[in-house]
Amino acid sequence: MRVVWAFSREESGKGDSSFSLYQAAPRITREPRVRKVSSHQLIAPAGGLRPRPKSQDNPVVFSENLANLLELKRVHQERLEKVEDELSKLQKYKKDYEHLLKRLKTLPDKITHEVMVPLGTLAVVPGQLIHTNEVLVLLGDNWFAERSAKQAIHIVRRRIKDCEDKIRSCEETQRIHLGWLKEAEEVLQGEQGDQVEIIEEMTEEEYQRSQEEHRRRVKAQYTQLTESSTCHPASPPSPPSPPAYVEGLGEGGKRSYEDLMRRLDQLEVEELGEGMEPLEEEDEEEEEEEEEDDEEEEEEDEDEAFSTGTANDANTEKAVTFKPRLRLHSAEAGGCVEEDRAPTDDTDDESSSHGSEKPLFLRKHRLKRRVSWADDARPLYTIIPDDSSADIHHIAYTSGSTAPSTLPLGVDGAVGPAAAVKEAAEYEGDIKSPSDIFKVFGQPFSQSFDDKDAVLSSSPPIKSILKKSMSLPADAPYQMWRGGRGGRGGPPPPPSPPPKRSLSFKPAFSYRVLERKGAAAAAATTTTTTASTTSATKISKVSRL
Amino acid sequence: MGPGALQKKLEEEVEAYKKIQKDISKTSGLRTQLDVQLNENKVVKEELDLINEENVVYKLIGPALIRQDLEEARQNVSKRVDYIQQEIKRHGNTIEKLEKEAEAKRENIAKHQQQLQQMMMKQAAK
Repeated sequence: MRVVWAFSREESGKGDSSFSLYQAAPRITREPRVRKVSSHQLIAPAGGLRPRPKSQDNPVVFSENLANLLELKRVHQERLEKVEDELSKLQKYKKDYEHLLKRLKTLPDKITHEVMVPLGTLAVVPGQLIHTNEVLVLLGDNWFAERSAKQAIHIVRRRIKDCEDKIRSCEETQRIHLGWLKEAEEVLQGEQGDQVEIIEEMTEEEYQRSQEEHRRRVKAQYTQLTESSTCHPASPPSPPSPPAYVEGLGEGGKRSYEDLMRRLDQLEVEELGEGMEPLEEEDEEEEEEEEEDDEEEEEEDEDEAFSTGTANDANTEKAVTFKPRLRLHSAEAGGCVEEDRAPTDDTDDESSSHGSEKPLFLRKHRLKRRVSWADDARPLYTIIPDDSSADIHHIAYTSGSTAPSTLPLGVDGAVGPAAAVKEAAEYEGDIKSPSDIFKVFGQPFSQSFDDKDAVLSSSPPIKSILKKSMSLPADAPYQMWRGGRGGRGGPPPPPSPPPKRSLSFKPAFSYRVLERKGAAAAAATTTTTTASTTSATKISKVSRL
Repeated sequence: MGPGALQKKLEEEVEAYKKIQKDISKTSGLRTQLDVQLNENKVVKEELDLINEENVVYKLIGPALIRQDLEEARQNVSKRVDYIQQEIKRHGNTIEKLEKEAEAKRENIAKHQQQLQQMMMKQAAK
């Protein structure tokens, strides 16, 4: 009895899409892990403790948040369970594939195997397994491939690798969910266990007193550090331990951070006025021990980084040190703000108060990284270049036997009419009526001229605008437009009788083929002048006659 | 518009919104399915590329394994992959559109609810 035994179908599944055939692994129920936290998780606000009123949070808000948190927790739990199901399923697959691998290895050992063959669901019959090296592998999506046992082994190995990748990603997700749930659990636990919320209860006056004390110490430290640093004015000591996020800021950011801190310190001192006292070191250390957050480090920096300047002397000194710093920044950032402000900064630096305002203003600008073009603002002028500028491409055209008109066409010829009008206005200055336009522009029809002045010097023949005569007034605007679109031959001649036009001038379109790509040589011989000036494309019908 | 009419309108809008939501979920379900199919076909494509000409390829059509040409099979599978990708994109677009509609509907509903509430309050005040 020949049995084609498609191992991969039975044992290893049909790829990813047919997971439904497999029984889902039993759900692994998990209880949320409740852990007692031994270390302090201190959530102290930056800048010291503030007195809290006895009645704590708003109970309504609190319960809402609680409800939301529980909901979120539930969702996370669900996802986690799903992921774990997936994970167990994948692991089962992997195990199956490994079994299959073993079986495939041993299968070609014998040419026939004696087996008990299942017949339906209730019976097995003894039989033989033949063609042991031939395996029909399901590739997926109802595609099969006949392979040898060894090749099938390769396929199985690849599938195992896929499984492992999937398992890894599932485990990652699982880890994330677990982590979140753990944190949520701890938050919910709150007061229990060793976790203590730092609440220092004090009255208003106590608070004020402690603030005063703090300010005094701050000033003292400040003076002390400046006195020590006046011996070394060159390099202000950098803050000993900048907060973690500063590391990632990069050079410019770090420097601005330091400046910011120094500036803040300076302002604080100014605000509080004179009067220093020696700082007590122990208090600082105590603070250091208790507080671990980054915010606390910030505070430390504030205390310790009073590196430059006493109340007044330091300001000027600092202002001085600011300048090179500013210049450096402007060199870095290349922003307009710094460069513009620098000269003003120079002038204002005599008095410390001015100097103090400016750098702050500057710093704000710098920190905002805003480039303001206010000083560089120039009204945008529409620049119509005059005749001699290189922008103007003079495209000579002619409407007939007359010499080419040298009406300026403006850039790209697009502003031809406008430019023409402008030019005319320049010369004439008194185009007040349509007839004036004609006077100015009507000349090309009747005269040949090389010089613009010739247009204006001669008095035009006075013609009625209605007559279709030699110098067709209706063409005057046409001509302007023709001037405007110098690239083309212009609009076709108006429906006025061509013969009459021919009296005065040849039609604009000369009907003469200047140059074709194929016949360039031929054209060159006939129209030598044109070959030099016009390009070898059919588009340009500009002709210089 | 009286509160009764407004309420009815609100209910209609809610119904429409629910329908849109159902469409969205259906389409996204289809999309996930397509994703799975895409993956599978990609695997098949890889495997087909690996085997050489001498081996035979069959396709299961109904209850029968029909022999196929390797080249033909490869082409079929690539075409199927492309087709599925297109379908996925299409479904994605549909989903986006539906979501936008759902958003608009949601706002509408909120507005109507507010109106209704105001009306109720006014009536209560009266």
